[in-house]
Amino acid sequence: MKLSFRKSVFVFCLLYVFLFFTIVGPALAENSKKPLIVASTTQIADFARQVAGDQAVVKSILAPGADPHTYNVTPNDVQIVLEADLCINNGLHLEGKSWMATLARDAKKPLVTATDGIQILSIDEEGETIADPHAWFSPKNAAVYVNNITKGIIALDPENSVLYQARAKLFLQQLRVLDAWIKEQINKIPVQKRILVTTHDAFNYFCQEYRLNENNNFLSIAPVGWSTGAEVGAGITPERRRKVIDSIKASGAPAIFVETTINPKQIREIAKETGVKIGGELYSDSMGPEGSAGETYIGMMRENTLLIVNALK
Amino acid sequence: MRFLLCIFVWIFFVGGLWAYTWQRDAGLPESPAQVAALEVLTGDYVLEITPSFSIEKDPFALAIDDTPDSSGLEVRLNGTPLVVASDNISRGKVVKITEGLVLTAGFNEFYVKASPPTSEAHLDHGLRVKLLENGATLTDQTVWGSKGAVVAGSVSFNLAAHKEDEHDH
Repeated sequence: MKLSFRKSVFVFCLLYVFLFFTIVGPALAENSKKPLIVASTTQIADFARQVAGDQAVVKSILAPGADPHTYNVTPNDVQIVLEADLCINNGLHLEGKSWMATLARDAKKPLVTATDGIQILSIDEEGETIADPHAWFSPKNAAVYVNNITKGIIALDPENSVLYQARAKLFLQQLRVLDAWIKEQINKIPVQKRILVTTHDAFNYFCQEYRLNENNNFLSIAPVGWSTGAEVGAGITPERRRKVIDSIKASGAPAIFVETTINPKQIREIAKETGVKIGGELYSDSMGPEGSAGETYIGMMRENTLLIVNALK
Repeated sequence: MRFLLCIFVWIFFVGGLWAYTWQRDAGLPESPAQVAALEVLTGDYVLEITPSFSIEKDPFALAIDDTPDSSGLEVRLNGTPLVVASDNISRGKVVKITEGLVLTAGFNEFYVKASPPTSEAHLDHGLRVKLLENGATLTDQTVWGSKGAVVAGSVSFNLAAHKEDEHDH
């Protein structure tokens, strides 16, 4: 007996469906079971990836090079957060108008604030005290981020707690080695030349940790305030610009630096006015694009340090 | 007909393979093979650990629960944690451990880990690990950590089984 063409096609389809559900289906289901972790910034996404490994899918709302202070949420971000199992933000108003916390709250998703428990560095701006949100620039604070993120991921998926803890321990020790390495590198700069001038006040924690800008109480020197947005103490003022120029002239800083997330116009003008060179482009509020040396937190900190040391020593 | 025959042959082979693997795995023992019992050595053992640094709390340690901080010196014998007194473990001070030293004949391993001060990241540091039996040194090794890193490592050694005639005296 010979099967008709229609029957053959029918049997073939049946076989295909059978194979799909027995072989391909479980594989796909396995992948779709992975929890989705959504981070506000690239640094936080990197920390989460180091801890979660292949047990979870990690997405960052901000793309490399995007500015968290002035970021405007898109409908796609809303959709991503709606699908998330866990949201992580930096906090301390790094995300302008707390856009990540708002997204998580509206979608009724658990939110971890990575800066919880850090030793906050306060800065006085326009008569107000501001908590500097750029805490990741100290690897010791980055360790606090990693601990908070690890707690959040374990609460989400307690079954794999041992794996998350093991990965976190390894990454924390990498941060420890990074911290020691930065100290060694900065030590190569003569003490009088340890002047770090950048586009915006993002490097306070870095200056405090590695003793840069002694003439400014070990705080960052920048024409733009702690935020590029419209908050108190944010943006550029003529007084702040004048102070930076005076500071460069008084200290004899050999170079000043632009940042990857901010328009370099201000710094270029100041460089021209003071006659100092541009030392290069630092990763600040965002890590580098995929494939660049700064695509990870450790890579970003390493490249920044090398750039600073080479320009100032 | 030829098509149906193809499917039948396919099911026959796939089914056969499945039946074979199923019966093969069913024959495996449910628990791993029994490990031969190890001879536990009895003796007056003392473990001495001497750090080249004052041990401090590691700011890069995993801290995900509210358990109180330990001494900062972690010691394990053959995978089992040993209790270490947590009072000021300072540079050059010998830390003696006598409790929980369950040593076995053959291969043994101590794992030690401690955090040097991050302010001494420019120095290499070490932990000297000495095991003594009735005052005689059984092993004396130093675990080193390079600049800035936690000092951590394993100290392995073999111990001979006690001879039967020794027990008679």
